[in-house]
Amino acid sequence: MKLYWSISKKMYILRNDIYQNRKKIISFCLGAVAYTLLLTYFWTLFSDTFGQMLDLFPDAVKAIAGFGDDLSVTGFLNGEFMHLIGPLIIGAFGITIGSSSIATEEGNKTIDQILTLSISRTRFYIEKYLALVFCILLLAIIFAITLGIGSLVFNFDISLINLLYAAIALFSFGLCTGSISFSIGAITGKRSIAASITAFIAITGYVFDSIYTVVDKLDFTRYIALHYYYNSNAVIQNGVNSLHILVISLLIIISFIIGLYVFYQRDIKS
Amino acid sequence: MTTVIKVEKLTKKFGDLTALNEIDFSVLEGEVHGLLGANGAGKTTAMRCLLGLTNVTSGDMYIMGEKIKKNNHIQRKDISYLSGDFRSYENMRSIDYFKYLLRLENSKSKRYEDLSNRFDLDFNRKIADLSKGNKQKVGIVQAFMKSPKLLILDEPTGGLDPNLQREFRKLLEEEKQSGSTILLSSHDLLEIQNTCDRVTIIKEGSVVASQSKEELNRKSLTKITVTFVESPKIQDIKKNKAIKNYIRNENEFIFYIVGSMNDFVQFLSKYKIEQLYSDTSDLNETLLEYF
Repeated sequence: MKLYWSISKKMYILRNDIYQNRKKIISFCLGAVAYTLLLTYFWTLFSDTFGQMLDLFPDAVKAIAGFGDDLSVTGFLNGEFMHLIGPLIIGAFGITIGSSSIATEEGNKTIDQILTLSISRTRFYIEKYLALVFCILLLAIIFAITLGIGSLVFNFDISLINLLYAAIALFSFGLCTGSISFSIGAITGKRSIAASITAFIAITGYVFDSIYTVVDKLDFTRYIALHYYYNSNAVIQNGVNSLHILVISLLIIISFIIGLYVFYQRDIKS
Repeated sequence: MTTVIKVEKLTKKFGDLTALNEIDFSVLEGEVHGLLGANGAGKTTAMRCLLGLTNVTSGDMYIMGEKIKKNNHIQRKDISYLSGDFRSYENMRSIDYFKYLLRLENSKSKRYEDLSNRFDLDFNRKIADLSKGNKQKVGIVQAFMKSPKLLILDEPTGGLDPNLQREFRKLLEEEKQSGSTILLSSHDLLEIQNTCDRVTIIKEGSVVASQSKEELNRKSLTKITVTFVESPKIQDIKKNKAIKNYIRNENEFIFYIVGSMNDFVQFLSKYKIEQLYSDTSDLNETLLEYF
């Protein structure tokens, strides 16, 4: 623990990055708290009629929306929260923080003064990346804690293990989108390119993951959809699929390594 | 004297564009060395190569005797850099920015306090609220606050008013006296003339001259204005090796003389002269020739 504190105390780039992003962090966290509490409140309003409501929709629409046969709160949260809004918020957060991390410093030219000090590009890259990890972990934990608070306040049952699954899945999705945008930002030095490419990957992933359930011919698309690896297993109900987590982890590691390699080699834009 | 910076056959290409073409120059310990050239000549690229921000295509660079390897951050420990287009974190106060940079290098220097006072910089204000000139002061303070052995300054006085430019030149002189070596790029001839011991002139990516200020002064043109009683023969003027150029206004001639005066005096002795006066050598005129 002492070692951790002594290391983190010296991570000035990480600390500065979190400071620079403080407004974004606070905004996303407040949004996450507000949305999650609202959602849990909604559940109390129609928990008794949830099954009847779902019956109004065709199976295909239910599948696209992420609803299954589970009529309990976890079934509701899987569709309403884990399938769409949760990854949307944490994905957008990951892309915002990741794409702006190195690329914005380069665009604003603040990177010049830092990289002409006696610190290595590797240290700069790693501390920036750790700041991203911290931000996403914070938001994932806030989501899980707010869900827990919601369950207490509005009196419904959700186990701690389900909350943990939700937090792990959201964290992995957020970190994956964040890592991809971080890496593209470090490779190109351009925030807009990093954000747009990652948003494209995340959105097409969602579309592919939704569409393969209703169009048999497009079954293969799920394997190239990030969303499929994130929540096809209905994580909040069924737990984490270790193979899917492995795929996401590989994506994170590969994007981290490629980003670091290219950033280490390339010219900093003048 | 020890060579602090040595650049050998440094080439940098951006795609098809050759920004630097096998340039050579060296900077000696304790001198203020000017890197002079027009916009786009390659001054900034050369500095960024030295600092490891830009990779070289070929050639070698040495700082304090050590060959610069890719991203060797340890060599930058005794180096400070100031970009002409200096930028910092706008939402920070200057004092926090200085402390941040110092912490990154584990330095506990408090010199930023004296320097801020000297340049009349309120370091408790947010950088975003400062004027362009004051932001450049932040850059100057951060460059000098760690008392580096080598200062690399890329057009540092942009945005400073004349008084502050003078104060900045005084600071450069003090740093030089305390043993620092300074590489200063500029396209401001006056700044170079007033501050530098030696000058390397870069034109379109190539070094066209690298000399001491005295050597350049020796090569400077001397301007002599002569009013003749009767106009001299143009053939005589053209034949004279000392006369580099001239401007005629009836019987009044402005001659630009280079090298020995003997030939010119011999030429003058052939004619009756009404009036003659000479301007002092102007380094600017010489430097301008290289642009």
